[in-house]
Amino acid sequence: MAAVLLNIYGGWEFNLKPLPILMVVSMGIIGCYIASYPAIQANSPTFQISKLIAEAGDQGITTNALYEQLNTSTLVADRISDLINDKLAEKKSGTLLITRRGKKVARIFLLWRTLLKETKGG
Amino acid sequence: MGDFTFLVFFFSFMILSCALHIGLFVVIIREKLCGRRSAAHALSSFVSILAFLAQTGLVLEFTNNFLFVSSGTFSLMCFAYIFFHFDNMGETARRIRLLWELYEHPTGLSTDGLLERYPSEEAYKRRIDRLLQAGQCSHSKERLIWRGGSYTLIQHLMKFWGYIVFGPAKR
Repeated sequence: MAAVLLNIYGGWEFNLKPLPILMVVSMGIIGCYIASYPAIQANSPTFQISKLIAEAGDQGITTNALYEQLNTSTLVADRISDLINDKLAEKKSGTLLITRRGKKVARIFLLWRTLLKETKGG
Repeated sequence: MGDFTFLVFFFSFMILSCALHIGLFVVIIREKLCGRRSAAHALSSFVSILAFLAQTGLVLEFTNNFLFVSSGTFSLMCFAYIFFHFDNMGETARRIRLLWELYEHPTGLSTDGLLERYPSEEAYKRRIDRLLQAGQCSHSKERLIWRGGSYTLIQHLMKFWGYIVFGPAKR
């Protein structure tokens, strides 16, 4: 893409003018990929729920029947393993502790949610 | 226009538009001006892109600055997407919620203790409430009925994206 744009705007010559702008565009594309990654990496419970409701058709599904079909045992537990794998939390003699890196991430979201006057998500 | 002036304008307009985007979103959510979070995101990103184009129109001529306008608009769209995901993580991500619980308990928590503070049932209930609020499904005679809508399309897009990144094995 950079080569094509350089061809259009720079005529294959080393033109400094579009380079910083191309860097911003490239950073945008990379950022989009990174932002999408967690969403596609973990199975989405929202999509799981919507699939089950949609499959029930026009008559719908009761909340109890829905819960019976959903896997409640691993929904949150799997994410605890992710925290440990990503070194955001560590397990010491059966106790889960937040790491320094985890604290930094938690602080960012805590600040953001406080700015929005909102409490814990999930 | 010199290269340096061109870049100064580009980065200044970008920073101003991004700041406007975040600021507007914060005001909308804080003051509860919009019922739906996605609408707040759409509105603030639309206004920020408009502001970028307005700034460009006031200072430069559009016709001579295709690189400026196209790259700026595209980068702002990327920023809007990244910002949406960041905010969405704070709102819906299970990992962030768990981190928050651990942050509140510096001495640590057992796995059961953590699951007690954030049980799966709560996670599912929050998601059902969000689907109802977004109008994707409705509640009638104690039954949930699917109404369809944008989530179906997003679901397919995410599946396709996951297929590209992870291949058929994961899906």
